[in-house]
Order: sequence, then structure tokens, then C-alpha cells
Amino acid sequence: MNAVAGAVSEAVVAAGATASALATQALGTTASAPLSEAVLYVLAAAAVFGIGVYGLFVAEYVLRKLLALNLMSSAVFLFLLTVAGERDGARDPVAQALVLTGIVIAVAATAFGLALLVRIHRETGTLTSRWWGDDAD
Amino acid sequence: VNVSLAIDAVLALGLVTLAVLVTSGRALFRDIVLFVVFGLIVALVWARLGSADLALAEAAIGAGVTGALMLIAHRRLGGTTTFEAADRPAPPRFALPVAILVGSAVAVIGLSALGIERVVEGAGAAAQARTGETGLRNPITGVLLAFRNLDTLLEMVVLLAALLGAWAIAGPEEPDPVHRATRDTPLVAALLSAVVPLSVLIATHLLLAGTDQPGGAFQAGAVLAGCGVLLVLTGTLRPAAAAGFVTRLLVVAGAAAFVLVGVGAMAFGSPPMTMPGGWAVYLVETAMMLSIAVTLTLLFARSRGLRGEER
Repeated sequence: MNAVAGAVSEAVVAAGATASALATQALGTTASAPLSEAVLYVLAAAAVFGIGVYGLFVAEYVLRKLLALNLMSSAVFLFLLTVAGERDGARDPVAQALVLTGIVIAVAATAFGLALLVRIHRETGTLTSRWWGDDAD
Repeated sequence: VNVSLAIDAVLALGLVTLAVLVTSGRALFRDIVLFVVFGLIVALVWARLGSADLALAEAAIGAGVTGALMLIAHRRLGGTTTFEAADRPAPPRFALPVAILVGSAVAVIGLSALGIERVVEGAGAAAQARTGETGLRNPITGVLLAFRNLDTLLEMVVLLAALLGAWAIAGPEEPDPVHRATRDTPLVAALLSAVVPLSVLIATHLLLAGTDQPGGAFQAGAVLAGCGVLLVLTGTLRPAAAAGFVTRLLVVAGAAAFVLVGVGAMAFGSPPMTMPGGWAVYLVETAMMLSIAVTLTLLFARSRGLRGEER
């Protein structure tokens, strides 16, 4: 079991290195064009999304996982709007409407998740991710 | 030095730094507050990208309401902030590589997408070109209420489903009172008498302006929800165990008005979900604003209904 986990994590590290190399290459090709606000915000969105994924994995307290998920959704919105681009000085209205809808859906999902957490806390008295983990049964 | 780009660079760097701080895992209260700051920076980024509608919504909902919900949940959960280091399990080994992989993949996709020459104009260009036909001058309101209004209707249903889910989960017990301060304190009374009328005014303006300028039902509803949160926190509105008729009506108003107008249009020979005119847009937007405000306030109060202060 441990060997499998080791192999998987090695494969993931290798894939991560490949992707980083690709990202550097992509950055290199865009670097020939002037550094624009779109490039900056796409990079920021990618970084925040990655940080959110990391936070989601390492958080042991479930409320923290929700915080990380909200970071990820903000990154997705930023990515979506930046990549949609602008036309005649105005941002793509469909992308803006989608993000506006997304912001409201994100708060609704967060509120539902928090209601779930409060109930779980009342039932079990704990909220670390271990309550559904190995020693939960 | 390009000043405009420098501002963007500072904002982008601020986003990444705040994201690192939020996930760094020290005191949870501090991290939630930093998350609110993160939301405000995102609102600034929307403003920099020229989207005032998103900036308004992000400041009110993304930073404001989400932060309030997180903080009140933190208090309801007993304010647990940290775990003993010895008690803390080692973080999964794959966490960092997977995060780097995912972040790099997003960067690759995004940078490649930016480099693609647009051959065919997308839905955005079409919406922008034909907004005039809807009678609305704000293209985003045009997309939300005319071109893609089925999405907006279903969004109201998602909000309703979240509230019903929260009600189902909360269980039958009496809702806990959340307020700490009451109006007996002179400062709270002064705050309420200034903020409540002002937020109603701002919400009304956002709603009416939304057809032609930045604003609309979402932003207005979020401002009203912020006002509702304040009223719950000061005990002016108290959680009630049962939803009254008015509460139920307000919660479904957005979806109901949308469906009634959209289906009613069919009776006059229009295709389904057609907005028959400016009055219909205002009607649906007002109903949506009220639904959003009441739903978010109820989710914050974690109750089925709200009642006034006892005298």
C-alpha cells in the first residue's frame, strides 16, 4: 500500500516538474510580447488556485477547507474574466454575468456547507477531517 | 515605468500573498479576516479590469456576506482555533506536488488561451452588439435577464435549495440567539439609524440603476443582506423557530416572479422566458433582490424565520 502511495507521489512530482517546465516555456513565449495585466492576473489566478488546492489538502479543520475552496472559486472567477478578454474597451458581458452568478452560487454553497459543519459539530463534537477518516469507524 | 501595470502587479502580488497567509494555518479568526481582505482585493481587481458590476458584487457578497457567515460559524463552533502541534497529523505527502501541478496546469492553459487569436466572435460579442434590442443599456443585466435568463432563474433555485437544505440540516431545536449588542447601547442605536436607511437607499439605487449602469438585483440584494446581518447581530431581528407566511413568500419571490413572467409571456404568444417589457424586468429584479436579501439573512441567522424584538 505504502509502495503504491510512494509511486503515485513520485509520478505526481514528475508530472508537476513537467508542468512547471511547460509553464516556464509558455511564459517564455508570452514574454516576447509585452507583459500585460492579463498575463499578471492569469498567473495570480493560477497561483491562488494552486494555493487553494494545497490548503484543501493540508487543512485538518473542516472550516479551513471551506476557506481554501473559496480561494479556489475566486481564482476561477479571475481566470474566467481575464481569459474572456475585452472588446472595444469593455469586458465580455457573458463572462461577467457568469462570474456574477458564480459569486452568488459560491456564497450559497458556502452557507450550506457551514450549516452542515455546525450540525456535524453538534452531533460528533469534533470537526477535524479525521472524523470521516481512518479512525471514524 | 508603466504605473498602470505596476498597480496591477501590486494587486496580483497581494492576492497571492494573502492566499498564502489564509492557508498558512495559524489562528483561524485571523485567517478569516485575511480572507475578507482577500475578497476586497479581488473587488479592486474587478474594478481594475473595468467591471464595476463584479466589484460591487464581490465587495458585498464575496468579502462581506461570506466573511460574516464564516465568522458566525466560527463562533457557533466554539471558536476552536488551533490544534496542538503533536495532535496535528503530518500533511499528506502529495499535497505540495499536486498543488504545484494544478497551479502550473492552470497557468499553462491560461497563458495559451491568452495567446489564441480569436477567429470567431463568441457569445459575448453577440450579447454586446444586441443589448439595445432588450431595452436595457447595461449589457450584463441584458445577459442576466434576457439572453441567458434561464441561468438566472436556476440560480435563484440554487439559492432556495441551499436555504431548504440548511433548514433541513439545522434540526428542530430552537435557533440560538446570535446577537451580542442590543439597541439599548446608544452607539448601536445611532449606527442602526444611520446604516439601515442608507443601505435601503443604496440598494434601491443599485436596483433602479442596474438596467442602464453598473448594479442590479444581485448587488442590491447583497447590500440589503448586509443590512439584515447587522439587524440580526444587534438583536433587532431575532431568529424564530418557524417561518411566517411573509418570510416564505419573500424566499420564493425571485424564482416565482421569474417563472410567472416567463410562463405568462407564453399566454400572449411569446416564446417562454421572454421579458415582455421594462416593467417585467423591474418586477423580477425587485423580487430577486428581496429573495437574495432574506435568504442570506436567514442563512446567517441559521433560522427558519425572523421576528422583531420583544417589547
